[in-house]
Parts: sequence; C-alpha cells; structure tokens
Amino acid sequence: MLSLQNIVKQFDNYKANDDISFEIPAASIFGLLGPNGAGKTTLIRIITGITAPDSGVLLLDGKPFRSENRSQIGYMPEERGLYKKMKVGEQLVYLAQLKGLSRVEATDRLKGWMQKFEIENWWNKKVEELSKGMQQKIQFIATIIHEPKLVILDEPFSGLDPINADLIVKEIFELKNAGATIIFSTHRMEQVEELCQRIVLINKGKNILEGNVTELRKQFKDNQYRIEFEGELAPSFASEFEIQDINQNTIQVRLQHHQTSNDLLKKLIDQGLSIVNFQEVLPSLHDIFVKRVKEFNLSKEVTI
Amino acid sequence: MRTIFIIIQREYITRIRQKSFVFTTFAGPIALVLLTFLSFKISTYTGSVKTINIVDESNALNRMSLPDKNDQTLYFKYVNLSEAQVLKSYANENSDQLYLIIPKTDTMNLLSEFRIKYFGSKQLGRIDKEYVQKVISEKLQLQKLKTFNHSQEEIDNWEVHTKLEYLSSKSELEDTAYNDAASATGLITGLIIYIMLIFYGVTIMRGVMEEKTTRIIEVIISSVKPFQLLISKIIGIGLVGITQFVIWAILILVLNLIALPLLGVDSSPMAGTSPITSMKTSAIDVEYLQNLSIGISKINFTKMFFTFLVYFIGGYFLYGSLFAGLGATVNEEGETQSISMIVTIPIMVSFFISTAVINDPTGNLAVWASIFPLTSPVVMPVRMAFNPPFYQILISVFVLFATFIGSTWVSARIYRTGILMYGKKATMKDMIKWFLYKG
Repeated sequence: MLSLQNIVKQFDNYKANDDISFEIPAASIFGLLGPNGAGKTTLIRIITGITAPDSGVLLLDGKPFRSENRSQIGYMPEERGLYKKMKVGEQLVYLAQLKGLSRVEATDRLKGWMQKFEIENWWNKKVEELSKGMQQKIQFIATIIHEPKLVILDEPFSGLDPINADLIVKEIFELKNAGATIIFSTHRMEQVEELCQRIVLINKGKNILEGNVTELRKQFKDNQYRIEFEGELAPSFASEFEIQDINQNTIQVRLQHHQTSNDLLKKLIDQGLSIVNFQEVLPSLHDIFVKRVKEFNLSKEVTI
Repeated sequence: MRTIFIIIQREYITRIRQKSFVFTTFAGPIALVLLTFLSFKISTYTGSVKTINIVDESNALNRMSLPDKNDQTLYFKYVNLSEAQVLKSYANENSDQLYLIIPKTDTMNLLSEFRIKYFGSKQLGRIDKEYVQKVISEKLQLQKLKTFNHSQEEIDNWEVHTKLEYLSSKSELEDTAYNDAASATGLITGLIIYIMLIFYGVTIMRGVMEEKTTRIIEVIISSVKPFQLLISKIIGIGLVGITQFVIWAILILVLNLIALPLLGVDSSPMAGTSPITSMKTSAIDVEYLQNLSIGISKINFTKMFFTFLVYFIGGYFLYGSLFAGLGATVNEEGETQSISMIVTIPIMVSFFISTAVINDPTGNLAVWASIFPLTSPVVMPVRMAFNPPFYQILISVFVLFATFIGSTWVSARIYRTGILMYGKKATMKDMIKWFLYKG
C-alpha cells in the first residue's frame, strides 16, 4: 500500500534518514520502531507530506505521493496538539473540514464518534478543561474522523488508563478490519507484539531490521526453554546446562549447539523430577530491539 | 482554495468572538463619547435654573423679548427697578436673584458703548455668561441699527453671509488652519495604522506561536500546506482588524450624529458661536475655528479612507508576514518580547518620523520615508492630507506591495521550517539556513 524507496533526508551535518526503504502492506498494522533520535519523526513527517525528502520515492498504491493524498492520511503526532481555547465540537469539525469533509458531514460523523466514546457532553467544553487522557481521545477522533486509508499513530497510548487504552486498541483493530493501513510508532514493545504484523527498526537514520513479527522472533531465537517441574533439582545440572534463570520450580535453560531439547528433558526426568510445563522461549521484540541496536552501534564504531 | 477559506473563517470567527475584541471594539468608542459628554457636562455645569432680571434704565433694549436658553436653565425677565433699588435690595436680603444692569446712556448712536454689570450671590458659569453676552449684544446691535432709520427689511437683511471657496494651490500650505486640520487628520490616520500594525502583528505572532507550542501545527500541516496556513492566518486576522476599524468608524459616526445631540452636546467645531456676537469677545478664536472647520471640510475623507485601507493592507501584510516568520522561530512566550522588538522598532520609528513630516510634508525626509516600505505605511497616510504628487504615491504603493510580496515569500520559507523546530532558540544563521532549505 505504501512503499518507501531510498528515502534520504539530511539536516546540516547529519542524515536523519539515510537510504531507508521498506514496504507496508495494505490493511495491516505496521510497527515503526527505533530508539530516540533514530529518525522516526522525520520519516513520519515525510510519509505525511509535512516535509519532502532530499531524495527517494514515496509511493502510495503504486503512485507517487501528492499533496491531494493528504486527505487520505490521518496523523496523530506524539506531542499532542489541539487549540486549547477552542471548543471540542468546533475544533473537531474544523480539523475534519481541513481534511476535505463538508461541515454537515463532519458534524454528523463527529456526533457518531462522541456517542461511541460516550463523550456527547463534551461538545461545548474547551479543550483546556479536559484532562490529558480525555484530550487524547479527542485527538484520536481528529485523526480518524475523515476515514483515512493510512493512519499514523505516534505513541497513541501515552497518558491513557487501561480502559481507554483498550478502547483505542479496539478501534485500531476495527480500522484495520475496515481496510485501513496503520503505522504504529512506539517504544512499548509489548504493544507492538500485541498489535503489529510487521515492523521496521530504524537506528541512526538507517533501516536495520524489517519483517514479520512472528518470523523475526523465530529468527532471533537462541535455543532457550522454560521448564516448570516438581521436585528438587540436583546441583550437578548446572555443570551440564547453562541456566539463564531459576525461580523455585521454574528454570530457563539455554542449549548449546550440541544439545537438544530432548537431552534437556531426559536429564531432568532422569533426576526424578516430574515435568509440569515445557516450552520454547522466543525472544521478545524488546530483546531483539536492544540486541540489534547494540550490534549496529558497535559495528558502526568499528567502521569509524 | 477551499481550505484557505476554512482557515480564514476559523481565524476570523474565533477572534471576533473573544471578549477582548468585543470589549475594545464597542467599549472604546462608547467610552470616548461618554468622556466627551462628561467633559462637556462638567464644563457647562450650571446647577440650577437662573432668572436674569434685566434693569434697563435707558430702555436701550426697548423691552424686546429675549430668547431663553434652550436647555431651560436660564430665563430673562425685565424688572421695573432702578440700579440703586437693585443694589439696595441685593445688599439687604441676600437674595439668589441675578440682576443685569444696562446703565443710562445718551441717545443711541453708532459710538454708543454699553458697560453692562450684573449682580448676584453666584457668578454665572462660562457658558451661561457667553450666552447672556451673545443675546444682549445681538439685541443691542439691532437697536443701534434701528436708530438710523433703516427699514425693517434692511434690518432683517443686514447680516452678511459669506462662504469661502477654497482653491487648491501652493498657498494652501500657508493656510495654517487648513494645515492644522490636515496635520491632525494625517496624524490620526497614521496613529491608527501604527497601533493596528503593532497590535495585529503581535496577534499574528501569538497565533503562530500558539500553533507551534501546542503542537497542533503538525496536525494542521499534515492537512494543508504551511503557506496556505500562513496566508490564511494573515488574511483572517487582517479581516478582524478591518472589521474593528469599520465598526469604530460607524460607531463614532452614529454616536456623534445621534447620541451626542441627544445628550445635548454639539460636537461640531462651530458649537454655540454665532460669528457676529462672539467675534467681539474672542475674535481670533472664532476666525481660527471658522477656518479650521473650512480646513476640515476641504480634507477629502473618502480619499483618506482609501489611503488608510491601501496602506493598512500593504503595511499589515509586510509586517504581519515578518511577525509570523519571527513567531515561528520562538519556542515559548518569554522569547517573544525581545524578538518582536526587531519588527516593532521600525514601526515606532515610522511614527516618530511622521510627527516630523507634519512640520515639513514636502521635505526630503517626508518624501523618502513615504517611499521606503518599512516606514511608508505610517508616513504616507500622514502626508496624504497634504496632497503629495501623484507619482510619489504611485511609487510608494508599488514599492510597498512589491516588498510585502517579497517579505511574505521569505517569511513563508522561514516559517515552514521554523514551526517544526523545537529546542534551542533560533539564531539569524538558523533562519537563513531554514530559508535555503529545499521544499
């Protein structure tokens, strides 16, 4: 749906985006990840058409991005922005009109959304009268009221309580099911694992990892198993297997190249323990993220 | 085009709905009129109804009826008493009656002089005194004329009415009264433009800064181009300024025409003076006032109104775009003070220049300052009242509009980058760099 090809954006003496390419499939939730200052915001600004790349191509449905496409995009920036003195209803109708809706259409849709979010009585409230979390809901409505094909959410859950966060998650899935493509940028890896099918990891302006979340976790697995058992673990176990973590009746073990999961199970059974649970531990996105960024930074230091 | 209209609408409506706008727009002129009314009332305060008892021993007035003051605070009445009797009764009974004594004279002739005295426990106020003087002088004058056996018709037509037609020429500059009227009109126009440029310029700057600091800017410019937002904001706020000016003009006009007369105040410069009578008391003042009113009537207010519009629009776009560009470079309210000085100083300088221009409206300073685009929006309207050569107006307007197109273009390029830059305070070098960035 969206294709970025060799995007470069330079500021003064550093490249915020250095030859970034990736594809975002239609009707999916896509994670845009990276440490602070990696160039995510610049990339998002290029995707939303706020800034133009120095070179590279941005294709939307196979066609170059043009300013008319702005109305097909909904963008919720990390730093929330609303006119503080303006009333909620007026403000959302205004923002929707800027995206091409007529006043009547905007008003109609907004009423629907406010009903859905159970905030009908906020229409005449000024934004500054609302709490941060409440403003967040307003900002979310502003992002999607014009039914964009591409929705970009930068840290959409910051400041939301679990109930409202779930409400937004539900809406994100509904948008996806309705055919929208969602780019989701965050530092919270457990949310990425929960929501995203694919991710791209950006560091120092470069694309350092890209792929399907499940496949990536498999790709980065390093033979770790968690075993829950009943009985007493013999001290000799530690001399044969590398224990990553031990906690009463649960143990996490990392196998060496010559070891198999059967070896591990056999050893434990031979020791007279009864196995309650046995599972392979896939690395979390968090681990992959940290590992990959560290590796990349090290390799960069070496080349310099 | 549609989005520009939507943005203009928001900028305009949110501002004219603000309490501060409603207050300054409506309370301003009303306060002005109330002030005029109060100062008029205080200066004309009479306190109570007075009866002027006229002791006319020589029958100089021939018992002619004398007009009472039209606000019914002053009446005339003839009394059959001698001066001596009046003095006696006045000394005895401490009455609050007022007595006006026209002393005995020989038979009336052209040289007859009247030394009129009045007694009373209280003095007459200035306005009342002038009124009594006027009425008595007029009637005595008529009586004088009658003694020369003029026919009634001649007497009825003795007053000469002249109307001076003003011919525009170099001599107009020597006409001090016209000069003063022109100076005042020019200076007031310049002053209004000066105040409005700063006020609405700062409004633009705050608007830009609000969008930047609340970060709504990212939401907006993911929908519209920065230039569209900038130009719509400038136009929207400019319309607020023009609305305010038009409301002021209408209110002042309406209040002057309706409210002041209703309150019993005549605000025209000729108020309460009949040439013939007052000339005797303060001949110079009246002559000057007459000329001044002719001077004012010679000023082409339609021309001044359009001058105001053209120079306000030109100056507003020029300074407005500069204020907007600067607004995009700041991160917080505190920084605006120092940075807005960069733009407010030239506006202030223009106003200082215009006070000098009044004394020498055709001098070198006047000519160049009315062409130089940073000073012309304030200086040229001041000069306009003195009818500068047409080619100078043409050059001035052309230079101003060319400059504002240029300044809008430069500011838009700085704005476009500046609104997305957070953190450190922008330096001049940063702004130049932003200006040079590609799309």
